[in-house]
Amino acid sequence: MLEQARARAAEAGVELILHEGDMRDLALDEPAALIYCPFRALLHLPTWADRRRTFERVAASLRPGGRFAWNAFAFDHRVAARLDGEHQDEPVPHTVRYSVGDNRIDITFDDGARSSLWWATRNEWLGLLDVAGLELEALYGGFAGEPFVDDSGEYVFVARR
Amino acid sequence: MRLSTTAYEELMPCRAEEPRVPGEIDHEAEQRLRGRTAVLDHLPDLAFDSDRHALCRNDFELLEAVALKESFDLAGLDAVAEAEPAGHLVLEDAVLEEPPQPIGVEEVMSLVGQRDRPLEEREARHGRDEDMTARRHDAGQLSRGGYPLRLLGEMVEGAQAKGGVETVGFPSREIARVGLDDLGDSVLGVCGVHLLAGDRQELGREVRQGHPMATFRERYRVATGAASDVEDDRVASQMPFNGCQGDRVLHGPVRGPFEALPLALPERGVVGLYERSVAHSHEAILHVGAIRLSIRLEAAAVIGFGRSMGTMSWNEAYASHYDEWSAHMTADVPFYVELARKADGPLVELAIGNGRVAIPVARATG
Repeated sequence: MLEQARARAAEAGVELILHEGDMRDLALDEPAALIYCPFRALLHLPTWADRRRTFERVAASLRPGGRFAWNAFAFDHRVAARLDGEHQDEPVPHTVRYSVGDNRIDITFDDGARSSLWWATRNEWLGLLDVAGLELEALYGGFAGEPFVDDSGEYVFVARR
Repeated sequence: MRLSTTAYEELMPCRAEEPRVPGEIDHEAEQRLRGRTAVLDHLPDLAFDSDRHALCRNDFELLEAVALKESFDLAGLDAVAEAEPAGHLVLEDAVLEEPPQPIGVEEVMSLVGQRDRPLEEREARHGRDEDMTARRHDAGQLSRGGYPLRLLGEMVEGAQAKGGVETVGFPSREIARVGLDDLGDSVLGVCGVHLLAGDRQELGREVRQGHPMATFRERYRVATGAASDVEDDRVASQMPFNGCQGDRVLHGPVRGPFEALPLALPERGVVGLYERSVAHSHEAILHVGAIRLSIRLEAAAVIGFGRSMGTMSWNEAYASHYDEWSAHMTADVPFYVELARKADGPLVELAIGNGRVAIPVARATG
């Protein structure tokens, strides 16, 4: 995956410093002003312990006042009921399986590629901020800054150290 | 046999840095072990002959340390000289969609021997122009090195496709005797060995994080037919960890790898690789796997855990779909760009993917 980023950055003429590593072990030479994790990628961390470690490492890697931002979907049982086991052609042919007991979604592509996500509730995210010593700055229900409401489908968090 | 769970860091004040002499048996240490009076000094390798239920090679100080620490009664085990492995080994890797068919020991040994190739040669061999795990290994940042599981998986696949690979002299000190007969997908893994030869802090954390035990119980049953020397209910009672079960990753720590050690000494078994699937980065997972593999190969103590495909965060094949899969998501880019513009200092994106967000951020912030 990093190769893709490297190639695209070169093509775009921008410089990215790419590091391969485990985000649970994040350590920076210089504290960051902003750490962000888009595309629901934190959901690839399956356990509370994994996320707590990540949040703690993020907090330790931020400057005072630095921000941590991420987004994640909010589990919707109606969506789950609709999609569970259904084959979908777009954007890549795949099937989604929900494992509610494990708060997990398994996405299996027709060619065997797979990805799993473990969803979290708002309180879990807030708990992570709490244990990591971060403060919630904003919780949006979308990327346009709309408020998070009961039927929001996306958590968009901004936290501060 | 009484089992206990303990923190293993304290078991490991240091580790042996000098390579052991293959085949050498420290009889004096063995006697001390039998008397269970020795003091832990350093960490030699540990090997196990499951055919004979016998421990073989190396200073027994480690073993006795483990035995003492774990109240582990090894009195019935006999030290034996190293010998050629018997049976079959299966390298199991999440890169492989299904457990591979067993391959011959010679093939595995050949694969093991390849670990010592120079990085350039490995890259040329596997078509990788960059491999961070291998580089870190060569830079001495990984304990004892090893290939990423991805490469190992490819090697296994290649060996299978070709019906075998050239047999080379195998470093028997790296793989001890593990009696393996006719098993398919059972796994005897290595989590305990982490703490014998690896980066103790990191690997100890891995163990505590709770994943290595995986599907041991299931696998063990498959492997031994309701267990050769330990009944399943004993397995359950003696493995009170909250790690992995079945195909689920559960929360909570594994309470110590050696609680499973006796169970990993069946009459027969299969040594395999397990790829944890808990990190955001497949590469990071491979990094962990590489450590495990290398340690297993070098120490060859056996502990049970298995692969858990159902809990994969994502597999390598997913990367090939990332562009298409993420193409629809554009709304987040302005949001993160705006945050980046407000930031006065370094910017860090976790899980950068293909650079979909990072590149616009870099453009916007110069």
